[in-house]
Amino acid sequence: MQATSIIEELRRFGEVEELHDGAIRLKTRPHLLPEIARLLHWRDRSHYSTTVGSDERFVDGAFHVYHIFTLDKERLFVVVEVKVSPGTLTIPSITPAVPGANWAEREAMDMLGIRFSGHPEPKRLILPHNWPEGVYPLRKDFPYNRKIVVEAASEEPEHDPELSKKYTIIPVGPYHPALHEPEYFELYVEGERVVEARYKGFMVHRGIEKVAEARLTINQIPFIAERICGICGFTHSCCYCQAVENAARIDVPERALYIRSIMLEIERIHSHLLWFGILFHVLGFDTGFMIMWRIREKVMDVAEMLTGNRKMYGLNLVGGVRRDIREEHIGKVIKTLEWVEREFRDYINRILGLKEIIRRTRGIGVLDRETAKKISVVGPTARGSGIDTDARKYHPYAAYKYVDFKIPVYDEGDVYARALVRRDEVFESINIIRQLLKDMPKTPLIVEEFSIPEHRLGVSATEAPRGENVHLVITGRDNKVYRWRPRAPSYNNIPATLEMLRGQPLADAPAIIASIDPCFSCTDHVIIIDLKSGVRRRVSMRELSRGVM
Amino acid sequence: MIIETIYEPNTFLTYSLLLLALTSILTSFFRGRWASAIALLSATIASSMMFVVALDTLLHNTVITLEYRIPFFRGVGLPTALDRIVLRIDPISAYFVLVLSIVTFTSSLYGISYVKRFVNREHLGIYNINYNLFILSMYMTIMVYDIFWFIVFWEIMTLASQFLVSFEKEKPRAVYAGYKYFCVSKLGAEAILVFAVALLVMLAGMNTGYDAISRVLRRLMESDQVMFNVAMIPFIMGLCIKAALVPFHNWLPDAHPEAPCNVSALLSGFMIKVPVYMIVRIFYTFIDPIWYWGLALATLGTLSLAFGTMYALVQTDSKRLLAYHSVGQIGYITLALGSSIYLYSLGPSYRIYAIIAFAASLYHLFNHAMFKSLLFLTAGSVVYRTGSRDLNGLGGLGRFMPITSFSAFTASMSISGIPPFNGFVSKWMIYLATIPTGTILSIYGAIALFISAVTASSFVKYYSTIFTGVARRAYEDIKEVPPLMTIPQILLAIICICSGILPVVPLYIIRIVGLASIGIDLFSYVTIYPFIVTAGAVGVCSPLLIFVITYMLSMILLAIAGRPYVLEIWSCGMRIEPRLMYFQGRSYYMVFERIYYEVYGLGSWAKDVVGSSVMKGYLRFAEVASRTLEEAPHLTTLLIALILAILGVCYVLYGVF
Amino acid sequence: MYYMEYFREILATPYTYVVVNVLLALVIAPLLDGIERKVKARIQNRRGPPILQTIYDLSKLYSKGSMRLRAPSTIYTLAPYLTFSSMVLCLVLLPTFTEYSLSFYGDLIVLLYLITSASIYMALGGLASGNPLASIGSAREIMISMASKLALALALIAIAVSKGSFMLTKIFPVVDKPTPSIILSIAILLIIAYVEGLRLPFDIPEAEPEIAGGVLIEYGCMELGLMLHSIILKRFILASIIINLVLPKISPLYIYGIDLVRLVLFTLLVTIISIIYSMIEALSGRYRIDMALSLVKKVTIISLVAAVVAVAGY
Repeated sequence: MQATSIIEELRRFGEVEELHDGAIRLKTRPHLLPEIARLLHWRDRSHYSTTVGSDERFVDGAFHVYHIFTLDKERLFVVVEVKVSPGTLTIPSITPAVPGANWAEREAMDMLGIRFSGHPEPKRLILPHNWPEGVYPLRKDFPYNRKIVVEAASEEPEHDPELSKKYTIIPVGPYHPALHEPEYFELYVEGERVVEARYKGFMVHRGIEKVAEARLTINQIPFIAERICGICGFTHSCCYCQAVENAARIDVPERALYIRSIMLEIERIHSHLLWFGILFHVLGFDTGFMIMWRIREKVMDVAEMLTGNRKMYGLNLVGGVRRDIREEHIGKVIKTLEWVEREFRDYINRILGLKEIIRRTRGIGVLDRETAKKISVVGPTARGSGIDTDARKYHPYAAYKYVDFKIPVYDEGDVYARALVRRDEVFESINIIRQLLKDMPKTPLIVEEFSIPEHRLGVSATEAPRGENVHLVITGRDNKVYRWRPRAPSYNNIPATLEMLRGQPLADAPAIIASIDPCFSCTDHVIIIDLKSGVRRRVSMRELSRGVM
Repeated sequence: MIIETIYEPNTFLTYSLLLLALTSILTSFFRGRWASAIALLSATIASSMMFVVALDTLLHNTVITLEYRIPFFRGVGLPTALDRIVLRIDPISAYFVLVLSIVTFTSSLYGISYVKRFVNREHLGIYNINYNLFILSMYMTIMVYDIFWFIVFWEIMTLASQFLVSFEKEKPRAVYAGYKYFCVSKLGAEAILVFAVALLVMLAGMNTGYDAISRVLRRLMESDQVMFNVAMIPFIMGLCIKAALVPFHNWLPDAHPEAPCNVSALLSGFMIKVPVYMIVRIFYTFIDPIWYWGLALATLGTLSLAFGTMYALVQTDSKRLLAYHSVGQIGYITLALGSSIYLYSLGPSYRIYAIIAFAASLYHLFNHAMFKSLLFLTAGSVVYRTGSRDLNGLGGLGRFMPITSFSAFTASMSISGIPPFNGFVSKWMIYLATIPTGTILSIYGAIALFISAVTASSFVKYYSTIFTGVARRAYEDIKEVPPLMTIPQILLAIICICSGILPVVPLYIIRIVGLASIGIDLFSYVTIYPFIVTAGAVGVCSPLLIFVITYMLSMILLAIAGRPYVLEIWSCGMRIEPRLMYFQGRSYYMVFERIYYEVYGLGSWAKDVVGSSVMKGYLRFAEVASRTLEEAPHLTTLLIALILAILGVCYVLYGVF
Repeated sequence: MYYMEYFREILATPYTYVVVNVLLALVIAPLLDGIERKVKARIQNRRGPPILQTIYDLSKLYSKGSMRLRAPSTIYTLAPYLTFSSMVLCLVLLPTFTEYSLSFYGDLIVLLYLITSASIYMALGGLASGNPLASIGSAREIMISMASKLALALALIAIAVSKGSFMLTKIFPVVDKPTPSIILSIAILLIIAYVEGLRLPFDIPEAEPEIAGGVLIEYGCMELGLMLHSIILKRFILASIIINLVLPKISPLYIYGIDLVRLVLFTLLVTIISIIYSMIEALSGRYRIDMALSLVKKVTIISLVAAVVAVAGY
């Protein structure tokens, strides 16, 4: 087996153990990290996924850092774990070896105070600049309800001193018609050409991680997780549940797996249709926008029929799902999907054949394979750049191992390629749903008798509409999680927009930003601070405007 | 109309010329600021005297003829006019003198404060001698009635202006521009011109008076068309190079911006119009208009106005932008002049258009002299206070320099041809004379109309990058320039507005010129409303009334708009200093430049071809030549004396043998 | 002699009808915009706003009073008023619902000037506001208006040369004597009217998702109303130029001095043009500025051909 060869290879770095099916853990020493990262990331068909920091001083007196790598060929997650002693609090950074680790390491820096030596830009990522030094909100000795009083932000955002002297700054965001969520792109522009772009995000903040760890029980978290995103929430709750199930080795009934897969695919269809609408709107082609959203409406109806909700299905619990799909609905679903398929095929091929659309998307925002790999982008963004990666296929979860589907991959790396990937995926998803609905096994929906051992690690990935979505869970006592870290796909994809924007016409900037289907609120979720007041907010159940439209 | 000829010496004229010559020499020995002040002040006084003389001549329909005999040569029995300088101020030259005197008056007055920039940095003696010599030679070039002396003063004019261009020696660009100017202007244009003139002089049997030249040309035209054109082609070409018509323009955008600003005002404001004077002379007094020369000039004019302005559009150096506009505007003048020559030769049914085109040409010449020198003076004021000409960096000066801002606005509106400023009237007359003819000139007129929009766009950029928007941090304590600099600006701005509102005043003078040259009464063909000119008397309302109603309507709307809300600039909800979001000059029309690459590519293509082979060799030679020149401050004087002496000796020898 | 003619001219074109023209246009142009919005909505499977929506919008904006920026800028303040007045004066020069207009020698050039200066005032306003997005929008506005101006001027002048007159009233209509250059020019005008009207593939200066409204970004209240009204009027004016060129003079039927046949035909044609344009608009995505400019460049070359053909006498 290929998997065994990599395990053998990893053994020389430290102790390797199997976490659960499809995931191994390598416990190693800090100074080996860069080498391991280089080995694991720069292999064929593998990428760096994320980094999670965890305060485990009350367990074994140290901080832990987990670097997660996804190995598609071996169908394996590798969790590289190191202990960080609370004295020095410093480990070597893997960012020089794996540029994609930039954000995740800075996040651990902000939230836990772990320092990464050799990091190229050790600046704050998430916390605002007026946050007091030495206060780390994700540490266990930081009570979730502690109030931090900071002075109102008085400084201006940091500009690049060299670039701002030479070029005009064009702000895109936080409030901009092209962005539907508050993020800030700072474009340095000469004429109509974007010379350089900077990104400041993490303005949407609900403190979900902290709240989940401190206040919520294991079975409450799926509902919070679903609210991470207004568009692809189900994939988050699914991913969380799977992570816990993996950690506790719970066998989920087959029918529940089927229902999860069906809902995930319905979610994908609606999300892709929504994305097409937004792309066409950004390109000024409102007719296409209206058509796409008209088709999407039927998909929303299907979701409502099956779950009772258009969005926020509220279906997942650890161990299974809460609601069955009734037999009489299956026919309706298939009929509707047929209609959706027909309509979508009819229109999308015509629209994507329009000259203006082609001229405004082809060759625009090109992300070549090398850069894509460097930044470790995921999902349609990666598949548009010729990287064959899909968690459904290579890390099968839910019922995906029972169905047959193709993964569309395009090599051009431009906006058009990303659109084609999504177009093909819609058809594939419809196909998958048809297959799943045809032979749903008759089993119970949920197992409720299980116990969750303390301090067990679980990793899970789902293929969200935007790409690979990774959750890491460490179980705790008293029916709680000790550490939960969701990593949304946009977290990996947004840095790629900066590469894509460079040298492009300003008019194409919105289309480029939209082309990765950025979900800023997913990305920002882990944040805990209100930028303006600096006061922790109550967990907001607010729907994102994008999701409910 | 009776033209009275006065042969008695006009003392007023003589004194002003003497004043210029004397101060030029005397102040060259001092490098202090006061010496410059004296030189410039005397130039101002001389200019005002010239203004009076010219106006007097024009209004009284007289012709002044002066003869200065040079005692040294007396009695040698020369066949040429070398022993005497004949000055003749007829309406044509009087008109040019009038325009020149206004330009020199304002530029010199402005210079008094402006030279403060150069104190202790440059040798002001060079400036003094060349400045006054330059002005003097321009006056003389226009007033002499003898082609030999025309060439002599033309040479002095070029030489003096070349030293002024590379006056700021420590800037390599200025020195380079000086070389380039020297090469193209001296070795190119003047060599050709001297050749043509020598040819003409030979044909005229060494009689160099304008009357004799005219006789020769007329005779040639009838007997030998080929020989006539052999003489004419180099002659006109030499003039076109000096007028910087496309494709002979490439020295101008380098040379004009590098001179001190008040000199740029003279260079762009008047010097490039001296060739226009000679063209008027050739086609309206020496010989009768010839259709193909008219068409050729109109075509050259259209090329210049199109290319010059299109190139100006993408410049990001304030003075370079203005310099390219000089190419464009001289194109307008030449288009009108060429059209008038062409239309006149087409026959009596086109006379109405011919006279309007002629008047338009002279009117636009006057207007261009006014607004272009005003633009250079305002650019100078900005340089004086900020030291910068970079449209990518300037900004928000309108609040600190209100008078300069207002003057620049007036001049920008004038050059863009927006009513009620003067540029509109003359451009309007150009359209009137070209578009309705139904000939190829209609298309030229349409292009001119389009270029007017381009000019406006260019000045939207020029004005808005310098004066509107948010001030950059470095310019926050800028003050208005001193009164000696603001007064000339206000004066020119008033002239721009007045000659826009009351076109009848300049046109009355142009009518006199027209009567003396073409022999047609302008006023019998056109109707001059208080604000505008129309051909004949058709229609119920003056076009300008439309614009006046527009402005009034907007004021009324503004008045009833009521009390405003006051809001901040919206920057997508992010706190960003407005100065960082400043839109730089180069950003404006970048895409336009890319799409219309044919236009812009042509220039660089020509530059590659010409620049690589011919220019390099030329420049190398000139560089060596000029480096030696520049080291001795008084070498200018010596050199001019030398040239004169050599020329004199040649002629004397020629006379003796 | 001259004054007699002058007065006769005044009587022949009663100012009252010109005022009627202007007032009708001020109301009907927004109404046409409402129809366009409805048509677009129907194509996009939407119900769409009521036809009067544009009028509601404008009256709401007009009722909100005036606004200024904190950084004082005269040009910024004046721009909307100048733009609007220029457009109103264009209506004075053009025969629209009635056949009357102010007509004088060279009104064609004045019309071109007014259309150009409206764009330039609008762009100046945007530039003076100091907002970078507005500046980009303004630069785009100027580039488009500048590029299309040559084609517009050449096409109109080709027609004028063919007709041998430079008064708008004498040029109209051209259908009685169609020459190749006239037909070509009308085709060019149809394209340029679309481009200059800042309709969708060419609404690059505003481009809401890209530069958030561009030129208009810093305007609000009454000033925004004036700017929007000006854009709507500009579309109407460009359409009326074309209609005037093609509308033949057929058996007039006068009621109170207004030719009813013309009134009906004109209204019908302007509505048809609006509907056709809005249908094109609904089916196209936004161009990038360089794409728009290269298209206009091609049109310009064709119009140059038209002008040369016209000068050659065909």
